[in-house]
Amino acid sequence: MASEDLENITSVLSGDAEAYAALVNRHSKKIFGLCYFLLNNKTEAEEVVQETFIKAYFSLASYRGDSSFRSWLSRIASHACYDLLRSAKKHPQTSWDDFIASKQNELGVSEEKLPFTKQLENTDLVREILNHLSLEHRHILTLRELQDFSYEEIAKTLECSIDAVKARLQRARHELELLARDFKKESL
Amino acid sequence: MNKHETMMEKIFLFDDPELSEAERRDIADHVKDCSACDQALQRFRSVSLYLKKMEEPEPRPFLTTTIMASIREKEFRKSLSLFQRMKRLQRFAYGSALTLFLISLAALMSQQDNPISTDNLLVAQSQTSPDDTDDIVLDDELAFPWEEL
Repeated sequence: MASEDLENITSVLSGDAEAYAALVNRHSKKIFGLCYFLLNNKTEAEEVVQETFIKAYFSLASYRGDSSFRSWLSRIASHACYDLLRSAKKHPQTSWDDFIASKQNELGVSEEKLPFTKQLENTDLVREILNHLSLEHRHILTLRELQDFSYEEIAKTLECSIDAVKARLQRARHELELLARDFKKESL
Repeated sequence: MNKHETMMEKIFLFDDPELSEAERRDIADHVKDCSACDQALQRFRSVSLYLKKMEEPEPRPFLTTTIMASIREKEFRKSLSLFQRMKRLQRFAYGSALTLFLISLAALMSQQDNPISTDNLLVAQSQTSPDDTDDIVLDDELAFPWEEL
């Protein structure tokens, strides 16, 4: 993929603007996924994806190739998402405790007795857990668990060291596990 | 921070291929003897499994087409503004050239009305006799007649 990306980038830089469509086709779904999990809103995510690809097109000459194209794009998209969240001053709509309570009402008693893994399968619980994580933790988990980024790619995207990636990933996974543990305890 | 607390955080990296063999061995040894860490790891693994299985949302169709259209439009606007800038520059150049032409024309016309030729200079010189030069008063007192008043 990296060589195909480089090939397309070279074509775009030498004047073939249409070669950029191949890059958009290849990466738009993943970038959309990242924006969607960060913003938790489809329309806003699409707007950020568009903004990201347009910005990337006009700054393509500054792409040095020292990171993969997808980490470069993810970095642009992440910044755009953070800007949007900052300007909108968005916060999770419900607290974790309220969510647990509402989920218990929503689920029937019979479903509550299901094993934890079965609940994960039957409900949208995982997504809800993800949405209730802090933005920083949701960001790194989306990159790692959903988009299969390596430590190095995450470091390039988040502009930090590999040690910082490891530390942040540990904390994020711990928070995820704590929320899952909380839900499991409540539903027993 | 005791060993359990340190390990409690590290265990979540256990399945990552980037972890060194020594680190993995350390975690494995700890998890074998610590049921709390073992349970936490199992719980994380089940959530992580479903997280990986979770379907990524699909963007609406024709997203690429929309993006490419926006890029084309922006490029067109960019080239248009460059063209407009060039046009403005061209207009300025034409204006400057016209001004220069008019100034030169005016200078030429005024020269034709009052030609400073050598003949005129000679006539002017002949009208002033050499004796007249003696009459030129250099005295300051006479040169400023208002002082006589």
